[in-house]
Amino acid sequence: MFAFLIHFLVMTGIFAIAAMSLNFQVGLTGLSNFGQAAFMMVGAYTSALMYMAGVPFVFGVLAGMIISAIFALIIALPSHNLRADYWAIVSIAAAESLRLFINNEKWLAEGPFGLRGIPRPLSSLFGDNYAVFYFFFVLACVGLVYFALERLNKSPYGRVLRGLREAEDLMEALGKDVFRFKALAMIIGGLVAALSGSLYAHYITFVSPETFAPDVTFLIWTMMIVGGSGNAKGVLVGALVITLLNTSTRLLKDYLYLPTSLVAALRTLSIGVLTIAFVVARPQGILPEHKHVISHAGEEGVS
Amino acid sequence: MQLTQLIFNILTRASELALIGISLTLVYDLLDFASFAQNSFATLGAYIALFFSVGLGMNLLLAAVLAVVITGILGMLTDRAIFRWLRHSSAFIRMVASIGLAQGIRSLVQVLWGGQIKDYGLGVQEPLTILGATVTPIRIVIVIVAAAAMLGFHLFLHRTNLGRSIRATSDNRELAEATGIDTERVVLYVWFLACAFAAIGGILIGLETQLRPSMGQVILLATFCVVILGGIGNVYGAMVGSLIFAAAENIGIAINIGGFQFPVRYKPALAFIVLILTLLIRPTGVLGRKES
Repeated sequence: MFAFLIHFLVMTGIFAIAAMSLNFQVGLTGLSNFGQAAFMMVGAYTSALMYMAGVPFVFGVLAGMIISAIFALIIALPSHNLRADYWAIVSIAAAESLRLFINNEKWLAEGPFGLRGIPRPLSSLFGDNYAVFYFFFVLACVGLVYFALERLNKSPYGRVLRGLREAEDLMEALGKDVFRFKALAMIIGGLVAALSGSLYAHYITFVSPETFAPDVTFLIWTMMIVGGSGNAKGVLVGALVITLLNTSTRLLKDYLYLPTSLVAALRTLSIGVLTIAFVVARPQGILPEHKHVISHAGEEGVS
Repeated sequence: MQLTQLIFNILTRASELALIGISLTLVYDLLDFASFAQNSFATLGAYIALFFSVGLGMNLLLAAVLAVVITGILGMLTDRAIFRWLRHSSAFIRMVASIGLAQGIRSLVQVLWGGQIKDYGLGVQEPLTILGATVTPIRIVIVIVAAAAMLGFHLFLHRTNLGRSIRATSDNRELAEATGIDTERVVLYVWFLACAFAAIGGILIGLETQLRPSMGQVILLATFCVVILGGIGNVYGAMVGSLIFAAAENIGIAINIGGFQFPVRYKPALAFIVLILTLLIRPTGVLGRKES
Protein backbone atom coordinates (compact mmCIF):
# COMPACT_ATOMS: atom_id res chain seq x y z
CA MET A 1 0.00 0.00 0.00
CA PHE A 2 2.86 2.38 0.84
CA ALA A 3 4.53 1.49 -2.47
CA PHE A 4 1.30 2.24 -4.29
CA LEU A 5 0.88 5.54 -2.47
CA ILE A 6 4.39 6.64 -3.44
CA HIS A 7 3.83 5.52 -7.04
CA PHE A 8 0.56 7.41 -7.14
CA LEU A 9 2.17 10.58 -5.81
CA VAL A 10 5.09 10.39 -8.23
CA MET A 11 2.70 9.97 -11.18
CA THR A 12 0.56 12.82 -9.87
CA GLY A 13 3.62 15.06 -9.73
CA ILE A 14 4.78 14.16 -13.23
CA PHE A 15 1.35 14.77 -14.74
CA ALA A 16 0.81 17.88 -12.63
CA ILE A 17 3.87 19.41 -14.32
CA ALA A 18 2.49 18.60 -17.76
CA ALA A 19 -0.93 19.93 -16.74
CA MET A 20 0.52 23.19 -15.38
CA SER A 21 2.35 23.62 -18.66
CA LEU A 22 -0.89 23.08 -20.58
CA ASN A 23 -2.70 25.45 -18.25
CA PHE A 24 -0.14 28.14 -19.01
CA GLN A 25 -0.89 27.81 -22.73
CA VAL A 26 -4.60 27.02 -22.68
CA GLY A 27 -6.00 28.24 -19.38
CA LEU A 28 -4.02 31.45 -19.37
CA THR A 29 -3.22 32.38 -22.96
CA GLY A 30 -6.11 30.65 -24.71
CA LEU A 31 -3.89 28.68 -27.10
CA SER A 32 -5.62 25.30 -27.51
CA ASN A 33 -2.59 23.04 -27.71
CA PHE A 34 -3.82 19.55 -28.58
CA GLY A 35 -0.32 18.15 -28.96
CA GLN A 36 0.90 18.26 -25.39
CA ALA A 37 1.96 14.59 -25.36
CA ALA A 38 4.45 15.30 -28.16
CA PHE A 39 6.33 17.81 -26.02
CA MET A 40 6.54 15.21 -23.26
CA MET A 41 7.74 12.72 -25.85
CA VAL A 42 10.55 15.04 -26.97
CA GLY A 43 11.72 15.45 -23.38
CA ALA A 44 11.42 11.76 -22.59
CA TYR A 45 13.25 10.49 -25.66
CA THR A 46 15.99 13.13 -25.63
CA SER A 47 16.96 12.69 -21.99
CA ALA A 48 16.62 8.89 -22.16
CA LEU A 49 18.78 8.60 -25.28
CA MET A 50 21.40 11.03 -23.99
CA TYR A 51 21.59 9.46 -20.55
CA MET A 52 21.95 6.03 -22.15
CA ALA A 53 24.79 7.47 -24.25
CA GLY A 54 26.59 8.58 -21.10
CA VAL A 55 25.66 12.27 -21.01
CA PRO A 56 24.99 13.49 -17.43
CA PHE A 57 21.31 13.42 -16.46
CA VAL A 58 20.87 17.17 -16.06
CA PHE A 59 22.29 17.94 -19.52
CA GLY A 60 20.02 15.35 -21.13
CA VAL A 61 16.98 16.89 -19.47
CA LEU A 62 18.04 20.39 -20.51
CA ALA A 63 18.66 19.24 -24.08
CA GLY A 64 15.17 17.74 -24.17
CA MET A 65 13.70 21.00 -22.94
CA ILE A 66 15.55 23.00 -25.59
CA ILE A 67 14.47 20.71 -28.46
CA SER A 68 10.92 20.83 -27.13
CA ALA A 69 11.07 24.64 -27.06
CA ILE A 70 12.17 24.68 -30.71
CA PHE A 71 9.29 22.33 -31.59
CA ALA A 72 6.96 24.66 -29.66
CA LEU A 73 8.18 27.65 -31.64
CA ILE A 74 7.58 25.82 -34.93
CA ILE A 75 4.03 24.94 -33.89
CA ALA A 76 3.45 28.51 -32.74
CA LEU A 77 4.44 29.92 -36.15
CA PRO A 78 1.04 29.53 -37.85
CA SER A 79 -0.87 30.56 -34.71
CA HIS A 80 -1.02 34.16 -35.79
CA ASN A 81 -2.77 33.82 -39.12
CA LEU A 82 -4.97 30.85 -38.29
CA ARG A 83 -8.31 30.73 -36.53
CA ALA A 84 -8.09 29.14 -33.09
CA ASP A 85 -9.87 25.91 -34.07
CA TYR A 86 -7.73 25.45 -37.19
CA TRP A 87 -4.61 25.96 -35.14
CA ALA A 88 -5.80 23.36 -32.63
CA ILE A 89 -6.03 20.84 -35.47
CA VAL A 90 -2.55 21.86 -36.67
CA SER A 91 -1.17 21.22 -33.18
CA ILE A 92 -2.58 17.71 -33.04
CA ALA A 93 -1.40 17.04 -36.60
CA ALA A 94 2.13 18.20 -35.79
CA ALA A 95 2.21 16.06 -32.65
CA GLU A 96 1.02 13.01 -34.56
CA SER A 97 3.58 13.59 -37.32
CA LEU A 98 6.37 13.67 -34.75
CA ARG A 99 5.08 10.43 -33.25
CA LEU A 100 4.96 8.90 -36.72
CA PHE A 101 8.58 9.95 -37.23
CA ILE A 102 9.75 8.25 -34.02
CA ASN A 103 7.69 5.20 -34.93
CA ASN A 104 9.20 4.90 -38.41
CA GLU A 105 12.84 5.82 -37.86
CA LYS A 106 14.02 2.68 -36.11
CA TRP A 107 17.69 3.77 -36.18
CA LEU A 108 16.87 6.66 -33.89
CA ALA A 109 15.01 5.10 -30.99
CA GLU A 110 13.93 1.52 -31.77
CA GLY A 111 10.75 2.68 -33.54
CA PRO A 112 7.52 1.11 -32.25
CA PHE A 113 9.40 -1.11 -29.76
CA GLY A 114 10.39 1.91 -27.73
CA LEU A 115 13.28 2.40 -25.36
CA ARG A 116 13.56 -0.28 -22.69
CA GLY A 117 15.60 -0.24 -19.50
CA ILE A 118 16.11 3.51 -19.35
CA PRO A 119 18.52 3.92 -16.41
CA ARG A 120 17.38 5.75 -13.29
CA PRO A 121 19.78 8.47 -12.18
CA LEU A 122 21.46 7.90 -8.77
CA SER A 123 19.78 4.50 -8.53
CA SER A 124 22.81 2.87 -6.86
CA LEU A 125 22.63 5.43 -4.06
CA PHE A 126 19.04 4.76 -3.01
CA GLY A 127 18.46 1.11 -3.84
CA ASP A 128 15.06 -0.05 -2.60
CA ASN A 129 14.06 3.43 -1.46
CA TYR A 130 14.42 4.83 -4.96
CA ALA A 131 10.73 5.64 -5.35
CA VAL A 132 10.81 7.67 -2.14
CA PHE A 133 13.84 9.63 -3.36
CA TYR A 134 12.17 10.14 -6.73
CA PHE A 135 9.03 11.37 -5.03
CA PHE A 136 10.98 14.17 -3.32
CA PHE A 137 12.80 14.94 -6.55
CA VAL A 138 9.50 15.21 -8.48
CA LEU A 139 7.98 17.22 -5.63
CA ALA A 140 10.85 19.72 -5.87
CA CYS A 141 10.28 19.99 -9.64
CA VAL A 142 6.54 20.53 -9.12
CA GLY A 143 7.28 23.28 -6.59
CA LEU A 144 9.80 24.93 -8.88
CA VAL A 145 7.46 24.86 -11.88
CA TYR A 146 4.50 26.04 -9.81
CA PHE A 147 6.29 29.09 -8.41
CA ALA A 148 7.97 29.95 -11.71
CA LEU A 149 4.68 29.82 -13.63
CA GLU A 150 2.76 31.66 -10.89
CA ARG A 151 5.41 34.35 -10.88
CA LEU A 152 5.04 34.73 -14.65
CA ASN A 153 1.26 34.70 -14.30
CA LYS A 154 1.33 37.61 -11.84
CA SER A 155 3.88 39.56 -13.85
CA PRO A 156 2.91 42.14 -16.48
CA TYR A 157 3.72 39.44 -19.05
CA GLY A 158 1.05 37.16 -17.53
CA ARG A 159 -1.43 39.99 -17.68
CA VAL A 160 -0.85 40.35 -21.42
CA LEU A 161 -1.34 36.60 -21.84
CA ARG A 162 -4.69 36.74 -20.07
CA GLY A 163 -5.53 39.73 -22.19
CA LEU A 164 -4.81 37.68 -25.31
CA ARG A 165 -7.20 35.02 -24.08
CA GLU A 166 -10.00 37.50 -23.43
CA ALA A 167 -9.61 39.94 -26.31
CA GLU A 168 -6.83 39.39 -28.77
CA ASP A 169 -7.67 42.34 -30.99
CA LEU A 170 -7.66 44.64 -27.97
CA MET A 171 -4.11 43.56 -27.13
CA GLU A 172 -3.11 44.13 -30.72
CA ALA A 173 -4.69 47.57 -30.60
CA LEU A 174 -2.65 48.29 -27.46
CA GLY A 175 0.45 47.68 -29.53
CA LYS A 176 1.38 44.27 -28.15
CA ASP A 177 3.27 41.99 -30.46
CA VAL A 178 0.65 39.23 -30.27
CA PHE A 179 2.73 36.62 -32.04
CA ARG A 180 5.75 37.15 -29.77
CA PHE A 181 3.62 36.66 -26.65
CA LYS A 182 1.92 33.56 -28.01
CA ALA A 183 5.19 32.04 -29.14
CA LEU A 184 6.71 32.69 -25.71
CA ALA A 185 3.75 31.01 -24.01
CA MET A 186 4.19 27.98 -26.27
CA ILE A 187 7.95 27.88 -25.62
CA ILE A 188 7.60 28.16 -21.84
CA GLY A 189 4.92 25.47 -21.86
CA GLY A 190 7.10 23.33 -24.13
CA LEU A 191 10.07 23.60 -21.77
CA VAL A 192 7.95 22.52 -18.81
CA ALA A 193 6.22 19.68 -20.67
CA ALA A 194 9.60 18.26 -21.74
CA LEU A 195 10.69 18.20 -18.08
CA SER A 196 7.56 16.21 -17.25
CA GLY A 197 8.37 13.76 -20.07
CA SER A 198 11.95 13.26 -18.84
CA LEU A 199 10.75 12.64 -15.30
CA TYR A 200 8.33 10.05 -16.66
CA ALA A 201 10.93 8.25 -18.78
CA HIS A 202 13.50 7.86 -15.98
CA TYR A 203 10.85 6.70 -13.52
CA ILE A 204 8.89 4.20 -15.62
CA THR A 205 12.14 3.24 -17.49
CA PHE A 206 10.22 2.46 -20.68
CA VAL A 207 8.83 4.75 -23.34
CA SER A 208 7.46 4.04 -26.82
CA PRO A 209 5.49 6.11 -29.35
CA GLU A 210 2.35 4.52 -27.86
CA THR A 211 3.20 6.06 -24.47
CA PHE A 212 2.56 9.50 -25.96
CA ALA A 213 -0.60 8.78 -27.95
CA PRO A 214 -3.24 11.54 -28.22
CA ASP A 215 -5.04 9.89 -25.29
CA VAL A 216 -2.31 11.20 -23.01
CA THR A 217 -2.85 14.72 -24.27
CA PHE A 218 -6.52 14.27 -23.53
CA LEU A 219 -5.76 12.96 -20.05
CA ILE A 220 -3.79 16.14 -19.31
CA TRP A 221 -6.61 18.26 -20.71
CA THR A 222 -9.03 16.47 -18.39
CA MET A 223 -6.80 17.28 -15.40
CA MET A 224 -6.87 20.94 -16.34
CA ILE A 225 -10.63 21.10 -16.99
CA VAL A 226 -11.61 19.12 -13.89
CA GLY A 227 -9.21 21.02 -11.65
CA GLY A 228 -10.07 24.46 -12.97
CA SER A 229 -8.45 25.90 -16.06
CA GLY A 230 -6.61 29.15 -15.40
CA ASN A 231 -5.90 28.27 -11.77
CA ALA A 232 -2.58 26.49 -11.12
CA LYS A 233 -3.75 25.23 -7.70
CA GLY A 234 -6.88 23.84 -9.32
CA VAL A 235 -4.78 22.11 -11.95
CA LEU A 236 -2.76 20.43 -9.17
CA VAL A 237 -6.04 19.18 -7.65
CA GLY A 238 -7.16 18.01 -11.09
CA ALA A 239 -3.90 16.09 -11.58
CA LEU A 240 -4.41 14.44 -8.18
CA VAL A 241 -8.02 13.40 -8.89
CA ILE A 242 -7.43 12.10 -12.41
CA THR A 243 -4.21 10.29 -11.52
CA LEU A 244 -6.04 8.65 -8.63
CA LEU A 245 -8.71 7.47 -11.05
CA ASN A 246 -6.06 6.41 -13.54
CA THR A 247 -3.79 4.48 -11.16
CA SER A 248 -6.33 3.12 -8.69
CA THR A 249 -8.17 1.16 -11.38
CA ARG A 250 -4.86 -0.62 -11.89
CA LEU A 251 -4.84 -1.42 -8.20
CA LEU A 252 -8.51 -2.45 -8.25
CA LYS A 253 -8.06 -4.97 -11.03
CA ASP A 254 -6.39 -7.30 -8.53
CA TYR A 255 -9.67 -7.38 -6.62
CA LEU A 256 -12.18 -7.13 -9.44
CA TYR A 257 -11.04 -10.21 -11.39
CA LEU A 258 -11.72 -8.49 -14.69
CA PRO A 259 -9.51 -8.73 -17.78
CA THR A 260 -6.88 -5.98 -17.98
CA SER A 261 -8.14 -4.67 -21.34
CA LEU A 262 -11.65 -4.33 -19.97
CA VAL A 263 -10.43 -2.43 -16.93
CA ALA A 264 -8.42 -0.13 -19.22
CA ALA A 265 -11.50 0.53 -21.37
CA LEU A 266 -13.64 1.20 -18.30
CA ARG A 267 -10.98 3.60 -17.06
CA THR A 268 -10.88 5.65 -20.27
CA LEU A 269 -14.68 5.52 -20.39
CA SER A 270 -14.95 6.99 -16.89
CA ILE A 271 -12.42 9.72 -17.73
CA GLY A 272 -14.39 10.63 -20.87
CA VAL A 273 -17.66 10.75 -18.92
CA LEU A 274 -16.06 12.80 -16.14
CA THR A 275 -14.77 15.35 -18.64
CA ILE A 276 -18.18 15.74 -20.25
CA ALA A 277 -19.84 16.01 -16.83
CA PHE A 278 -17.48 18.81 -15.81
CA VAL A 279 -17.75 20.68 -19.11
CA VAL A 280 -21.55 20.62 -18.89
CA ALA A 281 -22.13 21.06 -15.17
CA ARG A 282 -19.04 22.85 -13.86
CA PRO A 283 -16.92 24.23 -16.68
CA GLN A 284 -14.90 26.36 -14.26
CA GLY A 285 -13.57 23.20 -12.56
CA ILE A 286 -13.15 22.29 -8.90
CA LEU A 287 -11.15 25.41 -8.09
CA PRO A 288 -12.18 28.22 -10.44
CA GLU A 289 -9.76 30.88 -11.61
CA HIS A 290 -9.55 33.94 -9.36
CA LYS A 291 -10.96 37.14 -10.67
CA HIS A 292 -8.06 39.44 -11.38
CA VAL A 293 -9.06 42.89 -10.31
CA ILE A 294 -6.54 45.55 -11.19
CA SER A 295 -7.45 48.31 -8.78
CA HIS A 296 -4.53 50.58 -9.44
CA ALA A 297 -4.37 50.55 -13.18
CA GLY A 298 -1.14 52.02 -14.43
CA GLU A 299 0.75 51.43 -11.20
CA GLU A 300 2.99 48.89 -12.83
CA GLY A 301 4.23 49.51 -16.32
CA VAL A 302 3.06 46.85 -18.72
CA SER A 303 5.89 46.11 -21.06
CA MET B 1 0.20 1.53 -61.66
CA GLN B 2 -2.56 1.45 -64.18
CA LEU B 3 -4.67 4.58 -64.46
CA THR B 4 -8.04 2.87 -64.01
CA GLN B 5 -6.72 1.10 -60.93
CA LEU B 6 -5.49 4.40 -59.52
CA ILE B 7 -8.84 6.06 -60.17
CA PHE B 8 -10.67 3.22 -58.50
CA ASN B 9 -8.46 3.32 -55.42
CA ILE B 10 -9.03 7.07 -55.19
CA LEU B 11 -12.81 6.67 -55.53
CA THR B 12 -13.00 4.03 -52.79
CA ARG B 13 -10.96 6.04 -50.32
CA ALA B 14 -12.80 9.27 -51.18
CA SER B 15 -16.20 7.59 -50.68
CA GLU B 16 -15.37 6.53 -47.15
CA LEU B 17 -13.81 9.84 -46.18
CA ALA B 18 -16.54 11.96 -47.77
CA LEU B 19 -19.32 10.44 -45.67
CA ILE B 20 -17.54 11.09 -42.36
CA GLY B 21 -16.42 14.46 -43.73
CA ILE B 22 -20.05 15.41 -44.41
CA SER B 23 -20.84 14.43 -40.83
CA LEU B 24 -18.10 16.67 -39.47
CA THR B 25 -18.94 19.58 -41.73
CA LEU B 26 -22.68 19.43 -40.90
CA VAL B 27 -21.98 19.70 -37.18
CA TYR B 28 -19.47 22.47 -37.80
CA ASP B 29 -21.90 24.36 -39.96
CA LEU B 30 -24.85 24.34 -37.58
CA LEU B 31 -23.12 24.24 -34.20
CA ASP B 32 -19.90 26.05 -35.02
CA PHE B 33 -17.29 23.71 -33.59
CA ALA B 34 -14.91 21.06 -34.88
CA SER B 35 -16.31 17.82 -33.44
CA PHE B 36 -13.81 15.09 -32.64
CA ALA B 37 -16.69 12.70 -32.00
CA GLN B 38 -17.98 12.13 -35.55
CA ASN B 39 -15.27 9.57 -36.28
CA SER B 40 -16.28 7.70 -33.13
CA PHE B 41 -19.90 7.67 -34.30
CA ALA B 42 -18.58 6.01 -37.47
CA THR B 43 -16.97 3.31 -35.32
CA LEU B 44 -20.13 2.92 -33.27
CA GLY B 45 -22.30 2.57 -36.38
CA ALA B 46 -20.01 -0.11 -37.78
CA TYR B 47 -20.20 -2.10 -34.53
CA ILE B 48 -23.98 -1.78 -34.22
CA ALA B 49 -24.26 -3.20 -37.74
CA LEU B 50 -21.94 -6.00 -36.63
CA PHE B 51 -24.23 -6.72 -33.69
CA PHE B 52 -27.30 -7.06 -35.90
CA SER B 53 -25.65 -8.95 -38.76
CA VAL B 54 -23.13 -11.30 -37.15
CA GLY B 55 -24.54 -11.20 -33.61
CA LEU B 56 -28.25 -11.66 -34.40
CA GLY B 57 -27.77 -13.24 -37.81
CA MET B 58 -29.70 -10.57 -39.69
CA ASN B 59 -29.33 -9.76 -43.36
CA LEU B 60 -26.36 -7.40 -43.70
CA LEU B 61 -28.30 -4.72 -45.60
CA LEU B 62 -31.07 -4.66 -43.01
CA ALA B 63 -28.49 -4.63 -40.20
CA ALA B 64 -26.72 -1.69 -41.84
CA VAL B 65 -29.94 0.30 -42.22
CA LEU B 66 -30.88 -0.36 -38.60
CA ALA B 67 -27.40 0.63 -37.44
CA VAL B 68 -27.49 3.87 -39.41
CA VAL B 69 -30.87 4.84 -37.93
CA ILE B 70 -29.86 3.90 -34.39
CA THR B 71 -26.58 5.82 -34.63
CA GLY B 72 -28.53 8.83 -35.86
CA ILE B 73 -30.88 8.61 -32.89
CA LEU B 74 -27.90 8.27 -30.53
CA GLY B 75 -26.56 11.46 -32.10
CA MET B 76 -29.81 13.25 -31.24
CA LEU B 77 -29.64 11.94 -27.69
CA THR B 78 -26.06 13.23 -27.45
CA ASP B 79 -27.26 16.67 -28.32
CA ARG B 80 -30.02 16.53 -25.71
CA ALA B 81 -27.66 15.22 -23.04
CA ILE B 82 -24.54 17.28 -23.76
CA PHE B 83 -24.43 19.86 -26.49
CA ARG B 84 -27.78 21.47 -25.75
CA TRP B 85 -26.24 22.78 -22.53
CA LEU B 86 -23.26 24.20 -24.36
CA ARG B 87 -25.04 26.33 -26.97
CA HIS B 88 -23.72 29.53 -25.41
CA SER B 89 -20.33 28.23 -24.29
CA SER B 90 -17.25 28.93 -26.38
CA ALA B 91 -16.57 26.71 -29.39
CA PHE B 92 -13.51 25.51 -27.57
CA ILE B 93 -15.57 24.11 -24.67
CA ARG B 94 -17.77 22.22 -27.15
CA MET B 95 -14.62 20.88 -28.76
CA VAL B 96 -13.36 19.54 -25.42
CA ALA B 97 -16.78 17.97 -24.77
CA SER B 98 -16.60 16.27 -28.17
CA ILE B 99 -13.15 14.87 -27.35
CA GLY B 100 -14.55 13.48 -24.11
CA LEU B 101 -17.44 12.03 -26.07
CA ALA B 102 -15.07 10.50 -28.64
CA GLN B 103 -13.06 8.82 -25.91
CA GLY B 104 -16.26 7.68 -24.19
CA ILE B 105 -17.70 6.09 -27.33
CA ARG B 106 -14.46 4.36 -28.24
CA SER B 107 -14.06 2.99 -24.71
CA LEU B 108 -17.70 1.88 -24.70
CA VAL B 109 -17.17 -0.01 -27.96
CA GLN B 110 -14.16 -1.68 -26.38
CA VAL B 111 -16.14 -2.59 -23.25
CA LEU B 112 -19.06 -4.00 -25.25
CA TRP B 113 -17.25 -5.74 -28.09
CA GLY B 114 -13.66 -6.16 -26.87
CA GLY B 115 -10.50 -4.84 -28.48
CA GLN B 116 -9.87 -7.64 -30.99
CA ILE B 117 -10.30 -7.19 -34.74
CA LYS B 118 -13.67 -8.25 -36.14
CA ASP B 119 -15.32 -8.38 -39.57
CA TYR B 120 -18.73 -8.85 -41.14
CA GLY B 121 -17.85 -12.41 -42.17
CA LEU B 122 -18.14 -11.84 -45.91
CA GLY B 123 -15.22 -14.18 -46.55
CA VAL B 124 -12.62 -13.76 -49.27
CA GLN B 125 -13.92 -11.77 -52.20
CA GLU B 126 -13.27 -12.91 -55.76
CA PRO B 127 -11.78 -9.83 -57.45
CA LEU B 128 -13.22 -8.67 -60.77
CA THR B 129 -11.24 -7.12 -63.59
CA ILE B 130 -12.81 -3.95 -64.96
CA LEU B 131 -10.96 -1.94 -67.60
CA GLY B 132 -7.72 -3.49 -66.45
CA ALA B 133 -8.25 -2.64 -62.79
CA THR B 134 -8.56 -5.32 -60.16
CA VAL B 135 -11.57 -4.53 -58.02
CA THR B 136 -13.38 -6.49 -55.33
CA PRO B 137 -17.18 -6.35 -55.64
CA ILE B 138 -17.44 -4.81 -52.19
CA ARG B 139 -15.47 -1.77 -53.32
CA ILE B 140 -17.95 -1.22 -56.14
CA VAL B 141 -20.73 -1.41 -53.55
CA ILE B 142 -18.89 1.15 -51.40
CA VAL B 143 -18.58 3.68 -54.22
CA ILE B 144 -22.21 3.19 -55.29
CA VAL B 145 -23.59 3.47 -51.73
CA ALA B 146 -21.53 6.60 -51.04
CA ALA B 147 -22.56 8.21 -54.32
CA ALA B 148 -26.22 7.37 -53.69
CA ALA B 149 -26.04 8.73 -50.14
CA MET B 150 -24.53 12.00 -51.36
CA LEU B 151 -26.99 12.40 -54.20
CA GLY B 152 -29.86 11.65 -51.84
CA PHE B 153 -28.51 14.21 -49.41
CA HIS B 154 -28.27 16.84 -52.13
CA LEU B 155 -31.88 16.24 -53.15
CA PHE B 156 -32.94 16.28 -49.52
CA LEU B 157 -31.28 19.66 -48.92
CA HIS B 158 -32.85 21.26 -51.98
CA ARG B 159 -36.20 19.53 -52.46
CA THR B 160 -37.64 19.06 -48.98
CA ASN B 161 -38.88 21.56 -46.44
CA LEU B 162 -36.63 20.16 -43.75
CA GLY B 163 -33.65 20.43 -46.08
CA ARG B 164 -34.50 24.05 -46.80
CA SER B 165 -34.88 24.74 -43.09
CA ILE B 166 -31.42 23.29 -42.50
CA ARG B 167 -29.92 25.49 -45.18
CA ALA B 168 -31.75 28.52 -43.86
CA THR B 169 -30.63 27.87 -40.28
CA SER B 170 -27.06 27.38 -41.42
CA ASP B 171 -27.10 30.64 -43.40
CA ASN B 172 -28.57 32.82 -40.73
CA ARG B 173 -30.02 31.41 -37.56
CA GLU B 174 -31.80 34.60 -36.40
CA LEU B 175 -33.42 35.11 -39.76
CA ALA B 176 -34.52 31.48 -39.88
CA GLU B 177 -36.05 31.84 -36.44
CA ALA B 178 -37.84 35.01 -37.51
CA THR B 179 -39.47 33.15 -40.39
CA GLY B 180 -40.86 30.62 -37.94
CA ILE B 181 -38.32 27.80 -38.26
CA ASP B 182 -37.85 25.91 -35.02
CA THR B 183 -34.05 25.99 -35.12
CA GLU B 184 -33.67 23.76 -32.06
CA ARG B 185 -35.56 21.07 -33.95
CA VAL B 186 -33.39 21.64 -37.01
CA VAL B 187 -30.29 21.17 -34.86
CA LEU B 188 -31.67 17.83 -33.64
CA TYR B 189 -32.29 16.65 -37.21
CA VAL B 190 -28.79 17.73 -38.16
CA TRP B 191 -27.37 15.59 -35.36
CA PHE B 192 -29.40 12.68 -36.69
CA LEU B 193 -28.17 13.20 -40.24
CA ALA B 194 -24.56 13.82 -39.23
CA CYS B 195 -24.32 10.70 -37.09
CA ALA B 196 -26.23 8.60 -39.64
CA PHE B 197 -23.75 9.67 -42.33
CA ALA B 198 -20.85 8.87 -40.04
CA ALA B 199 -22.37 5.42 -39.46
CA ILE B 200 -22.63 4.76 -43.21
CA GLY B 201 -18.97 5.74 -43.56
CA GLY B 202 -17.99 3.48 -40.66
CA ILE B 203 -19.89 0.50 -42.05
CA LEU B 204 -18.28 0.97 -45.48
CA ILE B 205 -14.82 1.05 -43.92
CA GLY B 206 -15.71 -2.05 -41.91
CA LEU B 207 -16.83 -3.77 -45.14
CA GLU B 208 -13.62 -2.95 -46.97
CA THR B 209 -11.23 -3.71 -44.12
CA GLN B 210 -12.01 -4.75 -40.55
CA LEU B 211 -13.60 -3.41 -37.40
CA ARG B 212 -11.59 -2.28 -34.42
CA PRO B 213 -12.41 0.24 -31.68
CA SER B 214 -9.89 2.73 -33.06
CA MET B 215 -11.04 2.45 -36.71
CA GLY B 216 -12.64 5.90 -36.70
CA GLN B 217 -9.96 7.57 -34.65
CA VAL B 218 -7.11 6.58 -36.97
CA ILE B 219 -8.61 8.60 -39.82
CA LEU B 220 -9.41 11.61 -37.63
CA LEU B 221 -6.69 13.78 -39.18
CA ALA B 222 -7.62 12.67 -42.68
CA THR B 223 -11.25 13.64 -42.02
CA PHE B 224 -10.31 17.06 -40.69
CA CYS B 225 -8.02 17.50 -43.67
CA VAL B 226 -10.78 16.61 -46.14
CA VAL B 227 -13.17 19.06 -44.55
CA ILE B 228 -10.74 21.98 -44.33
CA LEU B 229 -9.52 21.26 -47.85
CA GLY B 230 -13.01 21.53 -49.27
CA GLY B 231 -14.02 24.46 -47.10
CA ILE B 232 -15.27 23.75 -43.60
CA GLY B 233 -19.04 23.99 -43.19
CA ASN B 234 -19.60 23.30 -46.87
CA VAL B 235 -21.20 19.92 -47.59
CA TYR B 236 -20.08 19.83 -51.22
CA GLY B 237 -16.66 20.95 -50.07
CA ALA B 238 -16.37 17.74 -48.05
CA MET B 239 -17.06 15.73 -51.21
CA VAL B 240 -14.56 17.67 -53.34
CA GLY B 241 -12.05 17.71 -50.49
CA SER B 242 -12.19 13.95 -50.08
CA LEU B 243 -11.57 13.44 -53.81
CA ILE B 244 -8.58 15.79 -53.81
CA PHE B 245 -7.24 14.27 -50.62
CA ALA B 246 -7.63 10.69 -51.81
CA ALA B 247 -5.98 11.64 -55.09
CA ALA B 248 -3.07 13.33 -53.32
CA GLU B 249 -2.63 10.30 -51.10
CA ASN B 250 -2.73 7.72 -53.88
CA ILE B 251 -0.77 9.70 -56.46
CA GLY B 252 1.72 10.80 -53.81
CA ILE B 253 2.57 7.19 -53.15
CA ALA B 254 2.43 6.07 -56.78
CA ILE B 255 4.77 8.69 -58.25
CA ASN B 256 8.45 8.09 -58.63
CA ILE B 257 10.44 11.16 -59.59
CA GLY B 258 13.99 10.31 -60.57
CA GLY B 259 14.20 7.41 -58.15
CA PHE B 260 12.63 9.33 -55.29
CA GLN B 261 9.63 7.53 -53.97
CA PHE B 262 7.50 8.83 -51.15
CA PRO B 263 7.93 6.32 -48.31
CA VAL B 264 4.66 4.43 -47.83
CA ARG B 265 5.20 4.31 -44.08
CA TYR B 266 4.80 8.08 -44.01
CA LYS B 267 1.42 7.92 -45.76
CA PRO B 268 -0.44 9.28 -42.68
CA ALA B 269 1.82 12.35 -42.74
CA LEU B 270 0.45 13.24 -46.18
CA ALA B 271 -2.74 14.35 -44.45
CA PHE B 272 -0.68 16.75 -42.40
CA ILE B 273 1.23 18.08 -45.42
CA VAL B 274 -1.96 18.63 -47.42
CA LEU B 275 -3.55 20.28 -44.38
CA ILE B 276 -0.67 22.73 -43.88
CA LEU B 277 -0.49 23.55 -47.59
CA THR B 278 -4.24 24.25 -47.70
CA LEU B 279 -4.09 26.47 -44.65
CA LEU B 280 -1.14 28.41 -46.04
CA ILE B 281 -2.38 28.81 -49.60
CA ARG B 282 -6.15 28.89 -49.30
CA PRO B 283 -7.41 28.69 -45.72
CA THR B 284 -11.03 28.97 -46.87
CA GLY B 285 -10.74 25.69 -48.77
CA VAL B 286 -11.31 24.95 -52.44
CA LEU B 287 -15.03 25.70 -52.47
CA GLY B 288 -14.84 28.40 -49.83
CA ARG B 289 -16.11 28.58 -46.33
CA LYS B 290 -19.15 30.36 -45.10
CA GLU B 291 -18.23 33.18 -42.76
CA SER B 292 -20.17 33.00 -39.54
